[in-house]
Amino acid sequence: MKRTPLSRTIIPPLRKIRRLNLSEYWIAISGAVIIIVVSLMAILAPLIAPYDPIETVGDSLEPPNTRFLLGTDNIGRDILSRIIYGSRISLSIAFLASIISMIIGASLGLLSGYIGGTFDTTLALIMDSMYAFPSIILAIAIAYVLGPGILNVTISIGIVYIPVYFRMIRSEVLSTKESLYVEAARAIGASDRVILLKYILPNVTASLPVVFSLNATDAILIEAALSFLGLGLPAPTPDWGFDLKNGYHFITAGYWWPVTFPGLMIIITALGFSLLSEGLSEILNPRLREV
Amino acid sequence: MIRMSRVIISAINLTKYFPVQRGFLERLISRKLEYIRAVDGVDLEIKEEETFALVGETGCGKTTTGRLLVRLLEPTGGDIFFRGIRITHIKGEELRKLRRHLQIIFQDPYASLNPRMKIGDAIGHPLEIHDIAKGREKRQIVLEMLEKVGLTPAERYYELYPHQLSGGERQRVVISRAMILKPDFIVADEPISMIDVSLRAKILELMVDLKKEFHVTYLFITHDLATAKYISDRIAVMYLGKIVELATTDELFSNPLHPYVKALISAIPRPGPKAERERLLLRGEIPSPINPPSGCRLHPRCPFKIRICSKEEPKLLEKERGHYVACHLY
Amino acid sequence: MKCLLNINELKVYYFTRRGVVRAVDGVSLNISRGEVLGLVGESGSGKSTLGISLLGLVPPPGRVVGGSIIFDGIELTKLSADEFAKIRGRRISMIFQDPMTSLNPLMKIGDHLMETIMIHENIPKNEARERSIKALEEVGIPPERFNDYPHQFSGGMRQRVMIALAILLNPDLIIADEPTTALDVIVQAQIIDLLNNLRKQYNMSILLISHDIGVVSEIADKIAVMYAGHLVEMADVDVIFKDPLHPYTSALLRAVPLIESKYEKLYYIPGSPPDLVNPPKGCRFHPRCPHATDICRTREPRTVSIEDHIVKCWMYCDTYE
Repeated sequence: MKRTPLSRTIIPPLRKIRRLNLSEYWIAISGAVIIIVVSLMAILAPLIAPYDPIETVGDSLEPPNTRFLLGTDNIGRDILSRIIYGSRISLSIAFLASIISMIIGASLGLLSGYIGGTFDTTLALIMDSMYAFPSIILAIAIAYVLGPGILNVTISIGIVYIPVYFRMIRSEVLSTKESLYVEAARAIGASDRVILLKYILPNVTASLPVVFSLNATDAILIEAALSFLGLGLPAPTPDWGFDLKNGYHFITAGYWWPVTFPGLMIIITALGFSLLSEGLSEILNPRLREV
Repeated sequence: MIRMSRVIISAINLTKYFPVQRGFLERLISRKLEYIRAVDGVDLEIKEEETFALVGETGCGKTTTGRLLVRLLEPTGGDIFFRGIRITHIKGEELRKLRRHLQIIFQDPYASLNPRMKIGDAIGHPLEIHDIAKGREKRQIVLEMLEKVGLTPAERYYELYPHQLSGGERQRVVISRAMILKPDFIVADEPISMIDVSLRAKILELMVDLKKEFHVTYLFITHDLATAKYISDRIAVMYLGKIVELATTDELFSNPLHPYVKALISAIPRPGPKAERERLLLRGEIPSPINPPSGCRLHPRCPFKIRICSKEEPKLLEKERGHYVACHLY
Repeated sequence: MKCLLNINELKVYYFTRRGVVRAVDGVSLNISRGEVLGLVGESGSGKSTLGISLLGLVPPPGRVVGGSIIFDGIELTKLSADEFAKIRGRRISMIFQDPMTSLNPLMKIGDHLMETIMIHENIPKNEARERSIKALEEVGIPPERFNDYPHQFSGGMRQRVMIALAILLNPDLIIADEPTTALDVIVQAQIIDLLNNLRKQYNMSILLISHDIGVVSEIADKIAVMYAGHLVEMADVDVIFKDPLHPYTSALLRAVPLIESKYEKLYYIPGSPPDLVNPPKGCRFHPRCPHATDICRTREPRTVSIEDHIVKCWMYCDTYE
């Protein structure tokens, strides 16, 4: 039997979402709520943060109290403010990196799958060998070459995930380009460009939102890891991964708060994206929610 | 019809071989490439404004022939002429322009529509591609077409997506899309076989009506002789990549010559009292087109075979005026 | 003739997200021993659901919600899964449209046949083997193909294997759901001839389900026509063709190109088959019927029988009430 491209089975339910009962999608909704809250935190940071995140405003390592709700770090900076500002960095890197990999990966996948031949074989080989590396190791290697900095971290995370989009889009294109409606488009005289943009592209992008939020989950974690390893952002930029690393030196001495709160934020945000991805794929994939 | 009609499309010794897909191991073991001889030397001439039916069983090459004629497949050998111009190997922009005159309707109306394109846009797209009309002008032409094929109210159908339509409605959309360019020649590849029984007649009638209006020529591909009898002026029957008999519809049914054609006709289920009628049943099934039998391809199944049948391939010869048959018996 | 199967007011519904699909909605019919009943209808008419409900194989979310199926004195709708398994295959067997889905691709067809016998009967292996070979010969498959796998067979040969499986345990009733739809005309004719010979030989009853009234007429004694979950007409095959009563039947006969058609022009049925979640009120065919009157639009017609001719249409209710 010929495989039905994922996208073809997805389309009708997408249109039905509006009519459906929201309570059935609590997974996606709770994920979305978490992401919206964290995003609002990032956008409104100057308004809601009680202190300047890079100023020493209290004593070193003050435990959580009424002045500093989450305590202070080793140089007396307010952890709550650093977390609030840190969300800006984490979210923008996660979004930007995912967008970079999506745009590059998806367009390469589209071209590679459609053109085929040696071009496709070569590109697929490169992508597969990239994919074979554990993503964190690849990210470390690229970040090391590029050096620290927001842009470089974003780029290195972005590059790591190109193969994910490439492989997904390419396989969808391979089955879609054999479909009868593409042949029909050729029969009415459509050029390759028109076929690619009007007949193939709209039919292969259905699973992108799922992959995008899954990818953002990883991007949050990798960004934290890079910063933790010192390959991320230069001090004193407020960043969850950096703060985690900074706080970790003091945990053996019993100062638990500098490491716990940034760590929690990383987990919560990653969880938010992960829930969203899980929930989306459940909504979008009719096979998981058959009658 | 007495007047001599002009030939609109013709094929001379047309062939199409597909290489057999093989596994990695098989490729290591043997170097010889094998081919599926889907179409193996087909000659035909289709006249202006006739409905020409191509009939045969699964795997006889009828669909491949149809796709070759509208240049969706590259022929392996032979020639195709459209209004006397050789179009066998034209490419690129020239081919794109030619598509305006040659159209195809596929068997599966759902699969031949882009699920993400509105009905109106799908039908109107050919107009845009060939720079015939855009915007409101395009919309107007499409709405008229929708009316013509009975998808009313047209304004509503314009905005629907394929999955919101029934099978019969989808096939009307596909027919509209093929017709909107006012082509000269349309290949209709089993256009009713996936449609609900009660709606088939409607589609056939629609095709006949549109033909009268647009003066189009059909190549009607079907496995069902009864449908071919209903719609066509002339019929060619294919077996294993070759035409075995070609005649006007009335002649073919009143005086079938080729044993295969006789078998096909006698195999058609006939309602009514179960009168004891002699069926000419062929033994077995169609052999593989990879290594077709030598000589006449029917000979291993033919009850009338003579010695020459396994040795020499019969040519398609004119037995009576306009009645061609490829069989050593004649 | 003795009545083998009696279906009375059978209702099979599918409880889907969109609503309740009334696939079979109050169908009654009988099949006698040795009789072939052709069940004709378009896709979505409920004919296949009726077929699988006789085997207790209605897939969820479908359920038999009412009526009875009495097979040789046994009420099938009340059977447990285990009890049904004893009847299925042994007393009622099935032939599907696509044999590939019902044959295990990794099993030699000979083993398939032998296993089928040994599940139901406690007999030694070589006896099972002999009977399997005999069954294959009866459907025209030479014994040397006993050890071949399903993919080595052509479409027509696979359908022969399916028939061998179906007749293997000498059942009383065979349900054949579109057995020739996937086949070409010549092979189709071969299979029809085979079924015809086998039924004479074994005096089996067959419920032949098909959308193709031509195929059905080649073998059936009686024809039942289904439309949108209802049985609209049932009569002897010759009567159906000569003198159809229900407007849907006569429309259907004129809608298909036939090789020796007595009608010059094809007739088409306007509209499309209804959605069974929201079937039309009254007679379900009324939106497409040229003879529809007010009563057709509001009240469902009774099923009346005029001698052996059963029809569900208001045109015939008045006369006989």
